[in-house]
Amino acid sequence: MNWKDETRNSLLTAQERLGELLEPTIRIGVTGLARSGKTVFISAVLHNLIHDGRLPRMAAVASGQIQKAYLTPQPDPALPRFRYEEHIKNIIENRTWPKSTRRISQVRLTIEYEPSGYIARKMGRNRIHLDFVDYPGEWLLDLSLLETSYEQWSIKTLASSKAPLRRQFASDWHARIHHLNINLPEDPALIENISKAFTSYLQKVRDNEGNIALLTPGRFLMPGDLDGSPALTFAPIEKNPETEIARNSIWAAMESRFEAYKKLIVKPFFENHFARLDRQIVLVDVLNAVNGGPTHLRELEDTLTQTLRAFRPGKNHWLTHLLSRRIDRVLFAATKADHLHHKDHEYLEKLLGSLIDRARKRTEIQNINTDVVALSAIRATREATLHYDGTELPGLMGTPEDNQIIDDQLFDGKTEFALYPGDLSSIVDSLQHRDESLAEDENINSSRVDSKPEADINKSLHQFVRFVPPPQEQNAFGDSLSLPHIRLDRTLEFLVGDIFN
Amino acid sequence: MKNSPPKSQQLPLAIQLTAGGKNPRAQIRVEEDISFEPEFEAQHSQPKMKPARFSWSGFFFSILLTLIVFQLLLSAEAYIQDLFTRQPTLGWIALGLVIGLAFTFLVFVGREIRAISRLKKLDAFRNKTVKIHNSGSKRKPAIKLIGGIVDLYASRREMTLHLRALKSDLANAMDGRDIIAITERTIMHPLDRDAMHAVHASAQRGAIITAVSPRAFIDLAAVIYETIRMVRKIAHIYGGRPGLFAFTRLFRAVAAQLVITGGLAATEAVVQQVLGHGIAARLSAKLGQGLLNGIFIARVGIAAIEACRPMPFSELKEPKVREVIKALGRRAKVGEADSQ
Repeated sequence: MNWKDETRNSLLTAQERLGELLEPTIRIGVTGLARSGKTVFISAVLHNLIHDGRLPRMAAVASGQIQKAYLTPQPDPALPRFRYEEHIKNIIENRTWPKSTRRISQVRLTIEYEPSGYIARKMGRNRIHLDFVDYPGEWLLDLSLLETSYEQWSIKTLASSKAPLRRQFASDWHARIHHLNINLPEDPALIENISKAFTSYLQKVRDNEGNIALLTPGRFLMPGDLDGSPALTFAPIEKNPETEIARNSIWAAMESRFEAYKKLIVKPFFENHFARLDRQIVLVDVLNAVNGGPTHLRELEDTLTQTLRAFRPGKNHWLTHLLSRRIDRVLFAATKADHLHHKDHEYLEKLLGSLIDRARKRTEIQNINTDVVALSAIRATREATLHYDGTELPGLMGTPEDNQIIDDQLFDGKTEFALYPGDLSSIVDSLQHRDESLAEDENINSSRVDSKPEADINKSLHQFVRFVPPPQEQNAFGDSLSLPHIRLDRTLEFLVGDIFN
Repeated sequence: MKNSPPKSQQLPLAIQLTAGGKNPRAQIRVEEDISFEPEFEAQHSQPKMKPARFSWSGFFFSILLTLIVFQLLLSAEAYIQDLFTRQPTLGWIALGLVIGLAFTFLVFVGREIRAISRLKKLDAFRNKTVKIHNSGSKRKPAIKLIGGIVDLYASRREMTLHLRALKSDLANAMDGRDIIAITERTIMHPLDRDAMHAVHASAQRGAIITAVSPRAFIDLAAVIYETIRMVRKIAHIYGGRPGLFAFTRLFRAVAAQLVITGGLAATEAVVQQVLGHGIAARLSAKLGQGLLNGIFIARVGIAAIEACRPMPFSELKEPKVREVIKALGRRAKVGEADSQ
């Protein structure tokens, strides 16, 4: 980081501020790991605002202050447009969720409203732009690399690859680097082979553990245009701390490629997108981690720690200067709350809250306010009571996605079911005992995943399944209603409610 | 997970919902939770009357009342006996009249009791709203409460649209606090507007009559009449419909409300009045008096709104006496300009 970048950034900020006096722009950062629902969240927000949706807890909508909302051309010509129409069509007509995001995209929503301030009214200021940016969740974790050197990263990645759950996937890559002389002269073919083995390890871990795993570099899983370039071809290798590094050795080549990755991929993403946000919402798919067991919850906690670091890097870090727009409030949303009965929502919020508290303690970040909400941007279920054996179980009704099992019942993605996914409160309780029983849990978990994952799912006390999007609702007059949601209005009020005052 | 025993040992379940209703697991009955159904919820909403506590004075008056009733019955009996001995036809007529009297008395008492219970119901709703709001999230009790409140207005035609909007909005609301806030915004708002309209109109009429009346006792009569009419109207708007005794009870509540908020509001209002509309008042003493009476009516009206509204103000702003004074002041200035 040098003074040029800083000047450029402050100039950009100043220029934007000038424009904002007339037509303010709010950049909303929708952050989240892969498959946490960023695309669905943005689509649902746009759809509800554009179609005058059911947002009674958003004051500007409830009071009729917002007159009109529509999509306008985005400000940045270099970025692809967020395919709002396509996503909405998929959700409503085909009842399928958007595919995982492969590249960054942007969309601008313009809102016309009646300002309540006297001066604003006199000035005729009645338009505001909301800019949303969608990007693959894998990229988020890369931000943690900015502070890491190649050596640190190698040690960390190697250590985590030796964990009992992952060792089996890393065997090929480990074999290739086991007795590798890191002072061998640079050999592009050899590096490529090692890198391929490493990439396939990343992919296998991701397939096994889902998307909460803390896997870097993110672009290895979502390569995009730079696929095959040296910046995307490297891997951690073992190094004895005493070994002297020769010039043009394999190690030196790996290190320079790692630095190139940071410079070409991570830093531009951070500067152009992440550092220029006004509001932040972080979407977290807690239920997915809960399904995976305690190891996954711990993994999620690590990931949240890294995310928080990205918001507030250390005091003396160069990133601090870039964050001239200071984000002082971050909303953490536990997404897919519709996969639970509403009685469990408070436990969902507690669970995420406790994860964040731990992450905050670990990062020692105190001067950032966090808030937690159980959110469902598009509500795919209805609630029901299951009368069973004289007891009443809080249940859900909806169409589960295919290839999931509950209670020996394989879903086909077309049939509607009523189901009881289990009780979340017991998990929250057990989390409090977690620290004492950490080792024990790990043993239980590793043994059961290794042996019979199928059988275990059937025995588990909770199994939160995914649902296909809901059928379109109609009101008494036969008009189609906007997409249903849970607490999307409150989330919006938290994010942008103040700008309408 | 084995360190703490889970609260529910029930394993996850799945039941297919086929259109034909063929359920492979017949022992499980699935019942969809209806998001919001006022007709269905209304039957739970009757608040229970608290049993009255024993008091010596009450005991004394009960005995006294019983004795008086005995005396009345006796004299009535003697009177009818007397009529029968003199002229049987007259006796029959008197008997019929007495029975009619007793019947109408019972009806009157019944209606008063119902009116009082309606007012109590409003109080109970208000207390419960505060309780649910403070206790945090729970959907079911909140929906039950809202069902009761909605039931008050379900038969009003002008509320149909608002109730329909409420139903649609509540379908996806999960937290008690949200449900209450949405309800306040959707159905209390139009009622508040009507109630404030009544306050404005009464305050204005009271002020004008005071300003033009030649005698002080006419002012007094007008102010009392307007106040009573306004309070009745406000109670009616919020679903109270008070009778005679219920009205005294309501008035006590209004007076209590005035005592709580009154001190502050009075000084603020009077200072505002003297400073803001001092010119008008100094120009004409009569006009100033009218303004003061208008302010008094407005204060009673706002206290009545707070005593009758089934939910406290939280999502919406409380009405302020100041607003009414402003409107009165505008009227006064216009009137002055006209008269000059």
